[in-house]
Amino acid sequence: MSLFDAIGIAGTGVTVNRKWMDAVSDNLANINTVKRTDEDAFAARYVVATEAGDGKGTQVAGIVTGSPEGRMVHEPDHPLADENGYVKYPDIDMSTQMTSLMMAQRAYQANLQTITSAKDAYQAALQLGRG
Amino acid sequence: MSIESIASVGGSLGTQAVGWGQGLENTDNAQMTRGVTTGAQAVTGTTGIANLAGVTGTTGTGAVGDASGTDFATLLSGGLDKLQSVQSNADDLAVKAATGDLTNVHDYMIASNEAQLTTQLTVAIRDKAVEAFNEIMRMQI
Repeated sequence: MSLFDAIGIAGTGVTVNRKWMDAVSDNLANINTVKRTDEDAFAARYVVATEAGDGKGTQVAGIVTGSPEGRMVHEPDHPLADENGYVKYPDIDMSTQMTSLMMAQRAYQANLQTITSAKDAYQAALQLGRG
Repeated sequence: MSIESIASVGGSLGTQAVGWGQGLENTDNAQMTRGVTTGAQAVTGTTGIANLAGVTGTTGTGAVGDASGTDFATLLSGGLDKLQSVQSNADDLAVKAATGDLTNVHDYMIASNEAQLTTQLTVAIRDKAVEAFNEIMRMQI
């Protein structure tokens, strides 16, 4: 791997940001998941990134889940409503999630651009031997 | 190695030339003998080719290889091994992509890019080595 360190490191960044996008898509997909008031609401997933153990790149240290408290919404017509007419929605803010999605997407693209640039640089170095 | 073979070719050429000169030395014609003597001297001069065997002694490439710890052949075979492993890695990921087991799309693209770059590097080194060999083979003897 030592020959292509730049590509490998950028690859770890791509992996982490893909997982971040996975987490955001999970959160957004469950933003309208309704639960009974006596159940745990869907807990948002948050990716924790840390530097890689070998000092080359980044890695996902783990997934932290948000609060399962949720927020109570008064919907008496909902089939899951309790006797007081309340259901539980997950405590996820869509604008925050969309902002995270944009950041993850841009970081993903930046790492891919690093790979492309590194590849171009290596190929340019190989041209030294031609002609 | 190629330098050694050229030196040995040069050495044998020198021997043949000396033999040719000695053969001519037995000719009766004084003029010819004289010419042959100069020829023989010239040949003696060209027994300097035998000194080319000194080139064998100065296979400085070997000495350089010893100094750096690795010679070119080791380097080349190491590069080929590396190429082999990188390509088989890319092949594995290609199979995963085809069967739907690939979790990270970029993993395959990175692996195929690395395989491509390593192949280009190996080809460039091979081209250079063959070019150097051909250059030596074109040497005027």
